[in-house]
Amino acid sequence: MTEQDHLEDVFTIEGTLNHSCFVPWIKRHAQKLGLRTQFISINNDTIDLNVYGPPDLVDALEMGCLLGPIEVWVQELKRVSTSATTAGPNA
Amino acid sequence: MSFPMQDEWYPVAMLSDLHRQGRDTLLLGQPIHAARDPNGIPIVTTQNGQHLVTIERFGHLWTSLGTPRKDLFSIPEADQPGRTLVDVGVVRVKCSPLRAVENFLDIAHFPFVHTDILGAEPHTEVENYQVEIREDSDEVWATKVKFFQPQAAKSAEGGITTDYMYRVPLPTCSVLYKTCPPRPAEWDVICLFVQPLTEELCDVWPWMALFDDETPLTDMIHFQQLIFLQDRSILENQLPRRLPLDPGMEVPTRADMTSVAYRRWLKRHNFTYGAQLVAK
Repeated sequence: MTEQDHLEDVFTIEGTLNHSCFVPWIKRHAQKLGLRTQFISINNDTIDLNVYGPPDLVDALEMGCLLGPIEVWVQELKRVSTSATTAGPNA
Repeated sequence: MSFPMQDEWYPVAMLSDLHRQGRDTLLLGQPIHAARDPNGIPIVTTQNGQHLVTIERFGHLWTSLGTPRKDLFSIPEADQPGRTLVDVGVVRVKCSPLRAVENFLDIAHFPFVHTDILGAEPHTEVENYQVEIREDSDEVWATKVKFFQPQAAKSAEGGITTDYMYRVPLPTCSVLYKTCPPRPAEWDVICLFVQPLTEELCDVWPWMALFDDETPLTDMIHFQQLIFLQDRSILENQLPRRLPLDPGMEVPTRADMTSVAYRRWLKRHNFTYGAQLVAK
């Protein structure tokens, strides 16, 4: 798969986010899927992050985050595509 | 015992097969007895003689261990004249009741489990569809689902692209609306009513409301039983045995949107009987 097949999307996750457990959970789930992530902002009710990788796997991270760990309630996950680049965010 | 799922409705017997001597069974781990009283009225009692609330609907007797917050859901299509209402019977499955519902919602398994009936290779792709948790009715709905099926129903002749809608009105019940082969403007209605015996054992009561003047009732029942028996071997071997609400061990994909919405809805209501809360 080439770099052109990769997406770079911004996820904005809103809800009752226990970020001390959710952020490491997102990192683990993304790592399992082979995706690169870069957190932009983190607080109690919103987390913004860049996600970089193949489209189907970015979709899978979206599905996983919508459910999340039991301590977290995700009310909404907004996803915005940014232009594909040749170098994604750092892991 | 007090937990949110005790206040929901559950099927506990088929009305056409309920007699005076009744049926000893379990509901959420509690022993209950479903029977008809001397006047023929269906009743459900607990071990200590307490009478539980009951409703007779969709060919089945429904009850609750607690205080239901609303009436049992309705299926307006089931009242349309000309439909055949089919009590399929009961299938006991050694699986979480939530797993049984989730499997019913999963389209992607059709070509691999129900080969040459509800699906066939190479038609394995699940096209994008819409899923929502409807706030007004508090139900999960999946709409605009399309899938190629070699034999969508007993009444179907040859392969057709079938339209589907899925609905989850209760934690252990799902209603499927699918293209009606003899009447393309109408929906066939196929329901999965699941009685949770324990967290890892359930009785499944499929029920259907179909437009089909040709197929003998016995053949319709056999067709649906065949489908469900194919599912049973999969369900009884799934690990983890309980439905994970944390996707740590499983990796849901876009084709699993309905399952993800179902799990989110369970989680929001704390409907966790039969669920695994933390990935192990």
